[in-house]
Amino acid sequence: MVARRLIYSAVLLMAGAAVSAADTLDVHEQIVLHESGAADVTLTVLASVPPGRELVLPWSHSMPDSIRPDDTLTHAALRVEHGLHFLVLTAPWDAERPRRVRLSVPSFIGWSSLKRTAFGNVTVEHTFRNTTSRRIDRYRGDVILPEGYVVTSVVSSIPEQTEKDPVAPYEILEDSGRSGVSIRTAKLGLGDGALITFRCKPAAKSPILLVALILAGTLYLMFFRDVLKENGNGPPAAQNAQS
Amino acid sequence: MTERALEDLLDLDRHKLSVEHKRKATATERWMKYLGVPVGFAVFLMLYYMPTPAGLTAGGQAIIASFALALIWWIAEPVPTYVTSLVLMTLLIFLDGWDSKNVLGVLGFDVIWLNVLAFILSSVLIKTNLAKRIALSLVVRFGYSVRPMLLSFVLLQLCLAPLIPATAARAVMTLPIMLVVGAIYGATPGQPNNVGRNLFLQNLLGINIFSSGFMTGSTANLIALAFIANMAGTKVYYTDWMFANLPIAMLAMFVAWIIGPTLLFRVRPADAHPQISGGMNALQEQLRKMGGMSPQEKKGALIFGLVVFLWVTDRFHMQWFGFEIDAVMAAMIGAIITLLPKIGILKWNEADIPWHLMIFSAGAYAGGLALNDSGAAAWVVRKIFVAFNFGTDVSFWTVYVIVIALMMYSHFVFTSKTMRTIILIPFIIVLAQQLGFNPVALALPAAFTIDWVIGLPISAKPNVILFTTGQYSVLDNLKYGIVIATIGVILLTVAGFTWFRVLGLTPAF
Repeated sequence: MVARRLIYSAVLLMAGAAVSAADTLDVHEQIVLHESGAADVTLTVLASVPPGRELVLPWSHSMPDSIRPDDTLTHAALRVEHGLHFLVLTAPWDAERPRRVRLSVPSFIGWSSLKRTAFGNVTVEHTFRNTTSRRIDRYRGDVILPEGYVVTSVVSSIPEQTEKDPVAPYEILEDSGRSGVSIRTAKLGLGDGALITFRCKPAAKSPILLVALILAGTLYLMFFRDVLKENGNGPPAAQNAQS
Repeated sequence: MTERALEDLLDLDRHKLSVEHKRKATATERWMKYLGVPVGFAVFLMLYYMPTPAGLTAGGQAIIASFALALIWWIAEPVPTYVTSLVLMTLLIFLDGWDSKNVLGVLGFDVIWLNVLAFILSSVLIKTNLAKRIALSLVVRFGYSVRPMLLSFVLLQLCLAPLIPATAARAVMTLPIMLVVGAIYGATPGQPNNVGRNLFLQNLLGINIFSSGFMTGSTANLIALAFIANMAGTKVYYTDWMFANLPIAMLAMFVAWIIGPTLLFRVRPADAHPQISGGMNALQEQLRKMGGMSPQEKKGALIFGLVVFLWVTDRFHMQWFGFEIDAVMAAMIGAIITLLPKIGILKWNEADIPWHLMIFSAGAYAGGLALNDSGAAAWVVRKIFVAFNFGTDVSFWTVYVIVIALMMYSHFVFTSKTMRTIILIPFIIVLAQQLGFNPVALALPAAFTIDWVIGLPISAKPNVILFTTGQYSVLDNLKYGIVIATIGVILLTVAGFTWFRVLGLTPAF
C-alpha cells in the first residue's frame, strides 16, 4: 500500500516537473511607496497555466486591504498555508497575455521606525523569495519611492554584480518623476530569492553650498587678480615658455 | 660650465622629487589658474544642483559634480594637484557620494604601495650612482643629439614592455636614467625645457602604449579578452593580439617621435645637444672618471636585479614557490633589503618619496573608484551610447570609429584601466550583437586602446610617477595626450580598413 502511494506520488511529481519545465512564468512586481508607509503593489504575470488550474504566487509583504484583479483575471485572493502567504490567481490562461493584479498594503513600511543615518538617509530593503514549487523564469521587482525622495546608493543586491558578470542586476528608475530601484533575476526555484538594499533620502538640497561657493568664487575673482601678474607663482611644473 | 658644475648637474640628490618646485607660469597658465576656481565652482554647482537625472543615484550625481570640479582644477592648477585631491576626497564624503572608510582606504591600495616602494628603489639607483652610469653610457653612445637619444628610449621601452608587464615598475626603472639624461640636456626639475618635456612625455607614452602591443601587457587586456571569450565566444591568442596591435603601437610611437620635438614641444637646434661645456667629451671624461663599479653600485645592481628578476618571472612563481609574488611584493622585498642596517644601502631619510604625489594619486583613485562603485561611470557611458541613437541600418564603420574614439578618449575621465575595461567592453560587445555585427570586430580593436592612458597625470600609475619630476605641467601632458590619442584613433581607424581586414578581424566593405 505504502509502495503504491510512493510510486503514485513519484509519477505525479514527474508529471508536474514535466509541465513546469515546459511552462514559463515571468513576474513583475511594482511597489509604489507612500510617505504614510502604505504601498500600492502591482503584480504583472506572464504565465502558461493548464486550463482550469490556478496560479499560485508567493506573497511576502504585510496583509493588503484590497485586491483588485484587472479584467484579464477572473479571481485573485490571498491564501495562507503553513504560515506562508500566497496570492492565488485564476483566469482563462493564455501564455501570451499579461495578467495584472493591484493590491493596496496599508502598512508596508514604517518610515518612522527606520533608523536615519547621516545626511537623512534611511536604508530600505526589498526581498522577494519564491516559496512555491513552481519555478519563476524571470523576476523583476521595482520599488518606487515617495515623491521628494531620491535613491542615494545601492548597498547590496542578490544576485550580485561581479567582475565576471559586470552587468548590474539592478537599475535606478524614474517613474513619473519619482525615484526608485529595480532588481532583476531569473530562474528562481523553491527557496531562491532576489534582494536589493538601498539608501534613500529627501531630494531637497541645502542652498548653503550654492550661496557659499558663488560668494567664494566672486571673492576669488576680486581678491586674487594678482595671480595674473607675471611674478605670481605658477603651478609646480609650469614654467619656461614653450618655443 | 666648469667640471664642478657638471658634477652638480648630475648629482640627482640636489633635485629631490619630494621637494615641490615653484616656478613662474606662462600667460595662458596664469589665466587658467585665475579662472579655474570660478569655472570649477560653476560646473560643480550646475551638476550638483540640477535635478537628479533618471538612472543616476543622488550619490552618483554628487560624485560626478565633485569629480568634474577636481578635473578642472587638476588641469588649470589654481591650487596644487594634491590639494585638489584632498578637496575631492572631502567633497566625496561631505556630499554623501562615497563613505569615508572607502575614501580614506584608497591610501592603502596596492597602487599607492607600489609608488612608495618604487621611489625607494629609484633612490637606490640614484644614491649608488648606478643611474648616472647607465645614463652616461646611454648618452655617450646615443645622446649626441636629441633625436637618437629619444629613439634609444623608444627602443628601451619596447624591450622592457614584454618582459615587465607592470607599467609602474618600468617607469621607476627608467625614471632615474631619464632624470640624468634630462639634466645633461639642461632639463632639471628646477628649470625644465622642451627636451625634458619630449623626453618624459615620450617615455610616458612608450611605457603605456607598448603594453598595448602584448596581450599580457596589462591585467585590463586580459579582462577584455575574458569578456570577448565569454560574451562573444571567441578566444584570442597571444600572437593574434601581438600581430594585430604591436605594429600600431610601434607606428604611433614613431609618429610621436617625429612630431614631438618638431611640432608639439619644438626643440631649438641650440638645445638639441647636451647642454654642458666640453660637450660629449666632457661626458665621456665623466664616465671614464667613474671607473669600475663601486661595491655600493654592485650591491644596488644586485638588489635592483633581484626585483627586476621577480617582476620578469612572475608567470613562473606559482611553479617555483607555490604562490605568486606580484609587482608590489617584489618591490617590497627589494625595499626591505635596501633599508636593512649594514646589508642595505639607504637610510630612511635618503629615500626620496614624494608624499604629495601619494595624496594626489589617492584623490584621483578615490574619485575614479567612486564613479565606478556608484554606477555613475556606467550611466555616463550609457548616456553617450544612447545619444548616438544607432539604428539597425547604421554602417559598421560608423560604429567602429565612434567606439574606438569613445574608448580612446574615455581615459581622460577614468583613472583605472580595469574599471574602464569592465564598464566599456561588455557594453561594446552587447552593442555589436544588437546591431548584428561580429562583436570581436568591434571589441578587440576597442581593447587595443585600453593601454593608451596618456592624457593626464591621473590617467595611470606611470603618469603619476613621471609627473613628480616637475619636467612638464598638467597642461603639457593634456596637450600631448589629446594629440597622440587623436593620432591613435586615426591609426586604429586606418588599421580597421586595412591591416585588421588583412588579418580577418574587421569585415570587408
